[in-house]
Amino acid sequence: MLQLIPVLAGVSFVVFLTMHLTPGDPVEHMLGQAGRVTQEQIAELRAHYGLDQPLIVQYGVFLEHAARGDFGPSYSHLGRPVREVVAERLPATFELALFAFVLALALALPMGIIASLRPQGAFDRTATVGALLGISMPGFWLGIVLMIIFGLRLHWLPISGRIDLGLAPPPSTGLNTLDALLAANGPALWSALKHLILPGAAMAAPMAAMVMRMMRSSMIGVLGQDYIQFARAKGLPERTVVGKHALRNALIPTVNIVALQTGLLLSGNMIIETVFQYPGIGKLAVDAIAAADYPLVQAVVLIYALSYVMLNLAADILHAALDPRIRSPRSAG
Amino acid sequence: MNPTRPGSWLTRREFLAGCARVTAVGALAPSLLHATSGWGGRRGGLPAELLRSSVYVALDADVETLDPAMHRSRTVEAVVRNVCDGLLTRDAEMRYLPQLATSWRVEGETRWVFELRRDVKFHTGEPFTAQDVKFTIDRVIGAIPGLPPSPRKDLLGPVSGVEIIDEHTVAIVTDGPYPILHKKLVFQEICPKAYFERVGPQEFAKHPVGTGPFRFVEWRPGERIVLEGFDDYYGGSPDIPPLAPAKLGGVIFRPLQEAATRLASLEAGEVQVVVNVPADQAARVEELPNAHLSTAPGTRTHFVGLNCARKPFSDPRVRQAMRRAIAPDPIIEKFLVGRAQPLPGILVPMAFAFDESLPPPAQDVPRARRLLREAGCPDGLEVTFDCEATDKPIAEAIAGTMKAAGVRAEVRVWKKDNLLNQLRRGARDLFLTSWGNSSLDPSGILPVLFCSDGYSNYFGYRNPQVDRLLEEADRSMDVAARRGKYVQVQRLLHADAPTCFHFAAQELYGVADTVADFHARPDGMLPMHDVSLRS
Repeated sequence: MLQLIPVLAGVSFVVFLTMHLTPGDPVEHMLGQAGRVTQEQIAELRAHYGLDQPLIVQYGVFLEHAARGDFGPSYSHLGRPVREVVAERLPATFELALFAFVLALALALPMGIIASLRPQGAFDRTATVGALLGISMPGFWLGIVLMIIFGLRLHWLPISGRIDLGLAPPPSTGLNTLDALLAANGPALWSALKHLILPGAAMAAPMAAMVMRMMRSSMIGVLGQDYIQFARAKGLPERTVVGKHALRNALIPTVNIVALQTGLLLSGNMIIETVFQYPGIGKLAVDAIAAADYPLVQAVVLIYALSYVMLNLAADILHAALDPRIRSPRSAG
Repeated sequence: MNPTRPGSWLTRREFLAGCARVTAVGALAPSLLHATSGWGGRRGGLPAELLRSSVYVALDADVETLDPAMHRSRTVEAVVRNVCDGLLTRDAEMRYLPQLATSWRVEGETRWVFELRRDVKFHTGEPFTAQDVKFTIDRVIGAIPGLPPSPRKDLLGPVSGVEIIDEHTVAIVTDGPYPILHKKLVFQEICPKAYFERVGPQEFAKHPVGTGPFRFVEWRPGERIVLEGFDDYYGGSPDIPPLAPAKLGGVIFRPLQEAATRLASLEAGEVQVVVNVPADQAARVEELPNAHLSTAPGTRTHFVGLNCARKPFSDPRVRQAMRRAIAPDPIIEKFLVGRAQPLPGILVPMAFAFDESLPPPAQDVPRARRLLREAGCPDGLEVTFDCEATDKPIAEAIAGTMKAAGVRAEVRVWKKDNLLNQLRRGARDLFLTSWGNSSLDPSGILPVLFCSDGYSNYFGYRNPQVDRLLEEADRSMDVAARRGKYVQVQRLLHADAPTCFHFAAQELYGVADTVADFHARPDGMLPMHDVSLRS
C-alpha cells in the first residue's frame, strides 16, 4: 500500500508535465473564439487560476489540492470544483465497467473451460475465432457496428444515454441499476440494463477474448498434468476433477490477465463513452483534454492510476488465496 | 458414448439442458422485469405529463455549468436564456427589445438609466428588483470580492458599476462613453441576489433560478437538462407577443455531440429539435418524412488569413492577388452545398455598419497573375496553407481554386490548439480560421482581429489609421459617426487585405413536424417560450 504514494506522485508529475508541454491554453478555451477579448481579462484569469506562476509552483499547488482531495477549481466547468465534477460522473463509469467486467467474465470463463475440454473441437475452434475477432476489433468500431445493428436497424436497444427519461430512480448510489433495485422499480432496472448492453458489450469484447484464451490454454496445461490423471484414476467424477482440481490451478495465471484487462477496461472507456455519448469520466476526460482543463485531466488520470494499483493489489490477494505457496514463504518451493 | 470419459465434462444431454435453461432465463428476464412494475416501487422519474408536453432538444456540445456568469459558451447561453431573462433581448430578426427593462436613457455619456418592470417574480417567488440587476452586473465585472472572475467581463467593456436609484430604477455607469451597452446587455442574464447569497456560487451553477419562462428542474451532467414551464411568468418582452407563460410544459436538452447521433435521434423521434446540422446532411433532413430544416444566416465569419509581417504576404500586391485568386462559387456550392454566403469582408450583412458598397469576392485570374508578376513572383507562389482538421476539405477546395492563378498551396492540417498557438505567435503565413460575433456590432470583431494589439491579430497587421478609427468608434455615442468610422475601416481592410475569402455558414436546425413556431436564429439562441407542440 505504501508503494501507492510514489506511484501516484510519479503519475501526477508525468501527466502534469505532458499537459503543460502540449499546446493549448486553458484561458483561451475559457474565452472562446468569439466576441471581444482583451489582454487585461486574459491576464486576470491567468492570475486567478495561478497560470502565471512558474511550473514548479503550479505543481506544488496541484499537489496541495490533491492531498486535500479536492483537486482545486476546474478550468472548463468554471466556478465548480473538480471533485464535484468528477464525482457526478464517476458512478456512471463504475457501473459501466462493472457491467462489462461481469459480462466479460461470464462469457470468458465458461467458454475457456468448455473449449479446453476438447481442444480443436468445434466449440474450441468457434470460440477461438470469436476471441480473435474480440481482440482485433477496435472498440470504437465494434461500438459503432453494434449501434447500427441493434440501435438503428433493429431498434432493440438505445444508442445513447444511461436510462429512459421518465424512469430514472431516485438517486442514492448513483448506479442506476442499483438505485432501481433499491427502489424496487422493475422498469427502471430494465431500462438501465438496456442502456448498458451496447457500450458494455463493446468494452467487454477484448477482455472476454483475452481471458477466454488464457483460461483455455492454462486449463489445457493443467488437465494434462499427473495429478489430474491421478484424480481421474481415483474415480472422482469428471465434474469434480475439472471444477475443483483443475480449475483452481488454472485460475492462477488467469487472475493476472483479468486484473490487467480490467485496468484496460477503465482506460478503454474514453473511446466507448465518447462513441455512446455515455456520461462517465472517460468522456469527461476527453472533453477536459480538449479544453486544456489541467486539474480535471489530472484528477481523472489519478483515478485511473489508483484503480490500476488497487486492481493489482486485488490480484495479488486473490493469487495468495488461490495459491498456498504464495501465502507463506516457508511453504514455498 | 461414455458419459464419464475424460475430456467430456458434460454429456450432450446435460449440455443441451443447460442451454435450454440459460435461454429460458434470458427470455423470461425482461418480462419478469416488466412484470415487477407492479411492485409498487418508488418512482423517481420525471412526471409523465411533463415528458409528454416537453420538446426534446439535441445540443451539439456538453453543458459545463448553468451559471449565466461563468461561461463563454453559446450552448450554455442557449439553455440558460430559457431560465433567466435579461434587461434586453432580441427577436429572431436580431432587433434589440426591452425585456426586464421597460425603457432606458443615456445621461451624459457614461450613465445609462434603466426603468425596470414591476410585476416580475423569480422562480423562487421573490420579486425582481434593482438589487438583482446590480448584483448580476457587479458579479460579471468582478466588483464582488470573494467570487471567481467571470469570463464574460469583456462583454461588458468599460462598465464600472451600478447605482440603485430606487427599487425599480438603476443606472449603469461606464468608464468613458460606451455606445453599445444596450446591445451587450442582451448577453447578461439577471440572477437573483437573495437566492445566490443563500445557496452560494457552486449550488447556483447546478440549480439556477431566474425570471424566465422556464423553471429549472433537473440537470444530470452529460445526460440532460430538464426545464418546466413557469406558471407565474410575466410574459417576456412586450414586443414579442404573446405575453403569456410558455406554451410547452417543459423543455429537455440533451447533449449529443456527434452529429450522426443527433440526426439519428431526430429520425427516430427521440428528439424534436436538433442544433447544428452539418451542411452536407441538410438534404437528408429535408428528405425526412417527419421533420424539416430551419435555417438562418450565421454570425461567425470564416476567412483566409495572410501574414502581413512576413514574406511573401508582406507585399500588399501579393495579398491583393490572393483576394482574386480564390473562386468562391465552386467552394460555396460544392463544399458548403450552398449553405453559406460569401462576404466582401469580415462583417456579415446583418451587422451594424456593414458596407454594402464593397464588392463580393470574385476570382480574377489575369489580374491575380499580373499582381503577382508586379510583386516579383512571375512563376506564381508556393505556400503552405494551414487549417484545423475539421476545415481540411474546404481548405483543399480553396487551394484547388487558387492553382489557376499560379498559387500552389499545400494544405497542412493542425490540431486546433497547435494551430492557435502558432497563429498567436504570428508564425503562419496563410491559414483558414474563424471568429464569431453574435453581437452583430463591429466592436465585437474588428478590434480583436485588426487592432495592432488585438488579441487575435494573427496577421501581424499594423495600420495606425485603423487603430485610431476603431478606438474612436468604440467610444463615439453618435450612431452616424460610428457607422462612418466602421465603414472607413472596412474599406481600409479591403485595400490592405490582411484577410480574404470571407464567408458565413448558415445556422441549420432539424425540426420535427410536430413542433410549431420554432425559428432558427442567427445568434444560435433557442428561445422556447413561443414554441408549441402540435397534437
